[in-house]
Amino acid sequence: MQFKDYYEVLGVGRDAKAEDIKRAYRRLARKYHPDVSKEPNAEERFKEVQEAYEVLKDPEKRAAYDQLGRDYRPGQDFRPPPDWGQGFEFSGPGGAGGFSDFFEQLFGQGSPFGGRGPGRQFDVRGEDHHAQIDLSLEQAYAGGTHTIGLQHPETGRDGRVELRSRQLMVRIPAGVTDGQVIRLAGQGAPGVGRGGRGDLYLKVALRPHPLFVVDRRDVTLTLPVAPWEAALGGVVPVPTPGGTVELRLPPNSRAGQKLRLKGRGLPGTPPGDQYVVLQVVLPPAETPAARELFERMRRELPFDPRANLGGAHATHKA
Amino acid sequence: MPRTRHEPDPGTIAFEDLGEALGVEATVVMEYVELGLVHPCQQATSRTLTAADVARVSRALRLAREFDVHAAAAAMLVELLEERDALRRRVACLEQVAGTPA
Repeated sequence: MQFKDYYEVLGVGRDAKAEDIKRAYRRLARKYHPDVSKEPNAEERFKEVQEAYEVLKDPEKRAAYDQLGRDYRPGQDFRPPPDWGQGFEFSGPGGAGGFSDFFEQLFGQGSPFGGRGPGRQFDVRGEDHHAQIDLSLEQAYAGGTHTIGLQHPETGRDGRVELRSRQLMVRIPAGVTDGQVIRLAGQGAPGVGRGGRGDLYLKVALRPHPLFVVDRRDVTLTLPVAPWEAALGGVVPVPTPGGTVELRLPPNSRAGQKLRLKGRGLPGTPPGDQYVVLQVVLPPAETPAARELFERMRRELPFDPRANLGGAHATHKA
Repeated sequence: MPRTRHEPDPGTIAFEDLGEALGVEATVVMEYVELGLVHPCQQATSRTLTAADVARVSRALRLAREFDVHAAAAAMLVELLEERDALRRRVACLEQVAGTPA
């Protein structure tokens, strides 16, 4: 087991005041907390910082640690002295779990600081775990059973943080939305003593879809249409999450117009809708015949697309 | 690896059970209700929170401990992180459809 220099971890001197230690912890928590950190190995570093703070913020633990720490170098082989912790009062629980072997020996369960004493039982509920499951839009639409792999950092024998993995089969209801949370009771971390297991909160994350933009249960599709389809109206096939349907375009539909297919979004009570945004696409003007058709439209259709822009809009050389 | 089959919870948990479920005093949970992080709904004779809301309170408790901040800051953190993650997903989605800007 290796000695850990908690002062070095927090970047404070051995004579640091409580407020310095608190300030140092907050700064490092901001830097390494996995939810907000941009650093590599953030999770591992954060556990290290948490462990150091757990000891140094508690006057009793800090005093005990200082007593033995004077003679050791970080990384040096270490054994707790036989009379470790004698004379100190019981403190709070031995940390949030997942700390190093060094910490567990000195401050964890079974140590004088771990709350175990004559007649004292220690019951702490296990931590809740949070995980994410990535689904495609099709999977969210249909629902179904999925096997997910979960990984949780745990501290191994040598003090290094390892990732333990396990698999779980979960039933996803049809029509789950992006960001929805499914609670799985008792699937979190094990507790201590008679404390129960924590829960697992599974957050659904929808993968981006090449065709549909998803907003809760509604989906939006940009639909390419030919100019005559928009102008003259007609029936066109439209993809939806549940399959292709036919959409009736009214005559004189405008480019960018939004049409609604009620109930064609994700299922639910009520089901979401699908919105179709019309994107008028020009046929290519690559053959003489095609160009002649366009020329004819230019000659025979009086049309200024920029009439509403105002100001000089006639073509002129820049 | 052992495989266990789990059905999602009915979706709500009674308010009185929350303190015990989360491993904290009930007053701590009330604090997050007062801060507006979660809103219990009235169901027959008891107030309940949805699974999503319980997850938010659980997350706020954890963040309060990990960042060493008060409940008000932790509640705001939860909301901001949720908004950030939702925006990231939306941007990823829009970039997929419209093409990533050059």
